[in-house]
Amino acid sequence: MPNTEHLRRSRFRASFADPDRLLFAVKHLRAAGHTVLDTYSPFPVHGMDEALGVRPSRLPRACLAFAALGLTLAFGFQIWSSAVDYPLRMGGKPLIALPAFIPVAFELTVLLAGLGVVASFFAVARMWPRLHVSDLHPGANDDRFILAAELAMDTQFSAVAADLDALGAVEMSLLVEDRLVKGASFWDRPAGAGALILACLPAFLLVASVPLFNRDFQKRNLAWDGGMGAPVSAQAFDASAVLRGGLVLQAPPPGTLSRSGAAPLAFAPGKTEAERAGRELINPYQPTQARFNRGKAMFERVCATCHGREGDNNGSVVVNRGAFAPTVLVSPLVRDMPDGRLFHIATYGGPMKMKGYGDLLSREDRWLVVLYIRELQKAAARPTSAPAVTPLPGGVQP
Amino acid sequence: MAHDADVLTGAALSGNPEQYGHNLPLIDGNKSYSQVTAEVFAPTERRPPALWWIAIAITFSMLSLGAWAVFQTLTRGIGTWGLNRTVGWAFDITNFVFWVGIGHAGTLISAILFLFRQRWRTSINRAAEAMTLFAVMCAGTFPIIHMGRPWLAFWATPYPNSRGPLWVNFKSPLLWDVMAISTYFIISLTFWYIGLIPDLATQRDRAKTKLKRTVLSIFSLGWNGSNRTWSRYETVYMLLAGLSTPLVVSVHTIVSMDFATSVIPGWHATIFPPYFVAGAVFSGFAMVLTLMIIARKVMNLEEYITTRHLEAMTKVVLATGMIVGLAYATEFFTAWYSGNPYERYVFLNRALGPFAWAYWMMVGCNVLSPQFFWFRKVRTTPWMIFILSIFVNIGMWFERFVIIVTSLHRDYLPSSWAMYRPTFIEVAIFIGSFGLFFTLFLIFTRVLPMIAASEVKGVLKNAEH
Amino acid sequence: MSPSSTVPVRDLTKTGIPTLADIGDRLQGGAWTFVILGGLLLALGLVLQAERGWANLLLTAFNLACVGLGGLFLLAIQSITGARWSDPILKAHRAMPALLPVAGVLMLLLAYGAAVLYPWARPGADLDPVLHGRLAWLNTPFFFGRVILIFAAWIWAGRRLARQGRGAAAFILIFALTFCLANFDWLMSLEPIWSSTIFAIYGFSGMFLQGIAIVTISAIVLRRVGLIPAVSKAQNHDLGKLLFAFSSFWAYIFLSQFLLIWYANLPEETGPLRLLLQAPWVPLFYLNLLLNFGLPFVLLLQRKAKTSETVLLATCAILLVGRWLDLYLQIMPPVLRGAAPAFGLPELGGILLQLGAGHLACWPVFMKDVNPSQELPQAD
Repeated sequence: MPNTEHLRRSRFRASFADPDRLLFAVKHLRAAGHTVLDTYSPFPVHGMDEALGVRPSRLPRACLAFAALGLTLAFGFQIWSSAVDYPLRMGGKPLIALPAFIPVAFELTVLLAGLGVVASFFAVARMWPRLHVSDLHPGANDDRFILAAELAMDTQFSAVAADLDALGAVEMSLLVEDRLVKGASFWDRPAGAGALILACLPAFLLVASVPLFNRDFQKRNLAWDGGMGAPVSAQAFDASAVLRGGLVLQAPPPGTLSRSGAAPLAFAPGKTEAERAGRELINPYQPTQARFNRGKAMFERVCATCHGREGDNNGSVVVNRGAFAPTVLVSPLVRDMPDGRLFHIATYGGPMKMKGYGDLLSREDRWLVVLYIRELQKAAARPTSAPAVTPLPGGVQP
Repeated sequence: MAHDADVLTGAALSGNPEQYGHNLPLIDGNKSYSQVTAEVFAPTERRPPALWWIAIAITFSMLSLGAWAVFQTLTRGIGTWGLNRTVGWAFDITNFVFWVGIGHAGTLISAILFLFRQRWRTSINRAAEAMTLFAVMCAGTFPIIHMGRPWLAFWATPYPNSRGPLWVNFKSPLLWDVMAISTYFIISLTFWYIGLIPDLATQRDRAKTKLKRTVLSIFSLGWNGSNRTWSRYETVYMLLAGLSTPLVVSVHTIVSMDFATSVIPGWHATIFPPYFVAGAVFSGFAMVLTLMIIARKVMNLEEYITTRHLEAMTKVVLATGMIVGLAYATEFFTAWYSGNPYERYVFLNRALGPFAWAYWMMVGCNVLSPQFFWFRKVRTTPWMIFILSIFVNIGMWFERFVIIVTSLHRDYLPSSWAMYRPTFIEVAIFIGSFGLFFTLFLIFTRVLPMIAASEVKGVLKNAEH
Repeated sequence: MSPSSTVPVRDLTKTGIPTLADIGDRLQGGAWTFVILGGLLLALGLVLQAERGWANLLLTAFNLACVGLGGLFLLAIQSITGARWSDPILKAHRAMPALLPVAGVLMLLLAYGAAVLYPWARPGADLDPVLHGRLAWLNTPFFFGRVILIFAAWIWAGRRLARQGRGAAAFILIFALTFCLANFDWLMSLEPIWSSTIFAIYGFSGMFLQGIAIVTISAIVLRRVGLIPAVSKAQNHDLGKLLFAFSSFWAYIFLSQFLLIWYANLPEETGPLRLLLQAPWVPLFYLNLLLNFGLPFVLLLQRKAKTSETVLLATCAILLVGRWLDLYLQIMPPVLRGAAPAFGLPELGGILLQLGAGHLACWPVFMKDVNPSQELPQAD
């Protein structure tokens, strides 16, 4: 609280039409023992800082600090996000590609330094939005150069007024009320609102940064970008809502021809059709060494995983995985089936589990596989030697 | 501190003008302080003249056409443009670079000329900075529209998201571009606003209606012209100028790197950064000249924006035009010198290929037309400057077009060669960007003081000595 | 300007500091020694290891030319912008162009060593499929024809500018074209497969930075011996700002070139840079950045530092060393073909020659310009 002695010291104002006169008056008043509080002018008056004894601003240091902060944050964040959190190799560049981080680091440094120093300026100069500003010093923003001062002890204003008049003041008045201090008080109304907003800022930042530090929040879909973590999208093997029968892969329309031009097989799937095929089809290929090799290759590539290399159900899927065992190819049951029926099974699948391989093996390959199965059966019936190493006896093309 | 004050106000010169070599008055007409206030703020306090209404009707129509074209693009897709697989960037990116380039002059005038103590900047910096902001706004729209789904533009910013650990690619020049343009816009806006505060306070004190007074009170942040605040203000202004100077250089550098980091012949050239910056200054000053010559005439500001101001700017245009010409020559020479057949082909194709007309338009406008500025008569005759500045604007637009389209349309593989021609939609968007730019500028001239009154008052004393 | 903001003047009668002419006399003998010793060392280097000898001769000639051009360029800028504030304090730039003829002679001496330095000048270059296409430009007679033309242009335009004060714009035009050619020819063609369009601007940034450093040193020395009565802090500050700005400009151009080549990573383009980024060279690569940008940036960041003569002198010294290293790193890696960097007699000889020749050529012009009997222009 100011004491009574201070209260008695009254303040006065004088305005000038020229910056040089103002400067001179300030020097004069200070020399005479008055306290010049501040001056108000439409543009900065050169030399006034020295005349008033104002220290050089320390804002450059704030600027430097913000720049350092920006630089550190920018490099740190780029390195963390590109090399630690999301290490994606891009364009043959290393994960920590410092030259490529320079541009963004520079921009963020400038951004933080600029905004930081302006924010500091507003804070120290106590500038914030106000709804109403009273015109304390009329003309200070137009063409008047004004000083506000406190009278020295034991001095009458009239004496100073005479002085000021001689110095060329165009207007002067005694300010009874100490409105300067009041106007700049931190706790007047608009400032309170500003302070409230400022106080809310850390809380806001804290809330905003939660997703950054807590990944669980994101998994629980609490990240601020809402439902993007749980998209409503089609899942594999879902039935199609638009296609006939819910099937994604539709059968070709009736009468569709193969692109190779071969006539469609005149048999439909099913056991009766298989029996009909067994009656009506005969293998068009005679065994040769080349056909034997091709049939063996196809068999081992496609069939052997279940049926086994020897046709004895010793296949990797059956042995290692314990899958459902298929029919033993070298069994008498299969041995007695006609070629056409085996071909039909190879095309459309078996009666129990086997899928058809008509889409995977060409028609010729299926016949060659049938040939090879016959060789396997012969080898199995002959207890002495393995068929695979025995060249075909009747390998001569008729 | 004293020295900073010298720089800002030019008051140091009042003592000894010869020391700095400027003893001509910067403002004509031997004005008093209150006269400056009255004249600078007059346009914001009168009703606009009929000419202004006609002008804004035209520019607003252009803007509406552009808005319609943007709507077409967004609803029907990028297919409404003339792009194809080979020429994936054309009109849009040309316009983007063109507007960013124009956006360079404002900050350059504010910051670099400030640091170099070129005090003639005081009359034009406010308008030039506003021009920067509007140009950057125009520039920013093009890449955003080009995205096709502009509502997802925020994906280009690094924010914590729920797509697992997923961040933007900081090694991509396109991301650098996002950062550079947005930083440039924010810092330019801040710089412009800081410079505006003292004038906003003056405007507040002069306001007649309560609403105007309240709005200006909010934005002038309680400015009262106190010396303590001025002292800090000068420091901050100086610091912002110091920060903006490298920033303005970095922006077009990074824009150039969108091209130069690639391996497309005609794009990958190490000279691109300084060459783009020089080109940006060139086009930006030309645009400032175009606008200032109209504004000083229409708004009776000839005593503030004198022919000496215009002459100084034409010298900058001439100098940067020569740098740009030298860069053209260097590129051509190096393409030949390098012996790289692709490089050689690209440059021959520019000069002799299907887009040769664009190339020679560029050379004519950018290299030949500024040569007239060697004559003092041309430098001091506003209508001649006006015509030449328009030529430079056209030439610089074609420069970007030539760089982008001619480099792309003849790819490495002849099988993917293609041609490009813009659709009406693209042209309409371009016209719309001009509409946006001029509409904003026209509104600005009526709402805010176009000349920095506080700075002009600071250099006024010079005229008395 | 208030008296508090000026650097105090020394009273010459009391401190007994020698006059400029005394200093010149004293330095004269030393300079001759430097030139002779430097020449001998370079010659010895030529005998011992021809590549290094010739490369150092090239470095010396090029840098002397750059000093001369730096002076001329400052003069031209001063004349165009009418920046007369610098007149009272800047003196050296009027003397620096005297180095151009010396540099021209040294450059012509290279005609005897072209085949050692430049791959395209070697016998059999026309059989090389890559070099073959470039021989129309890169061949010895045309090359040295251009050397003569370039130096003739510089000396002619320079004299016109320095003596008559005319033709600043013309000089800058001529300079822009010829300096590009000089950089492309003399330095870039050491690795003839390589080309970089920014190369001449990179050369310019180093050249101009060195020019400012030299005039700053001369301004401070002149003040210390009392030939400029008082340099205001503002003027020191201007010099500091120029050094700071152009050091940053150098870094900007460096980064532009490096980043683009590094990013695109084209095989024919990365050659010299890849050599620099290999084990024995890489410390020098970083040292170059430190001397030309890092240290000056940190030293001059503060306002107070920009006005301090001690800091300015230290920065200029660092920059001059940095300039030498910068040229060394442009010339040596392609010449030494992957061998480790070396500093020995030829390098020392080159430096001595630069110092000695610099003094002998510039001093008489300098003396004429700062004649103490003349009426001194007042700085304040």
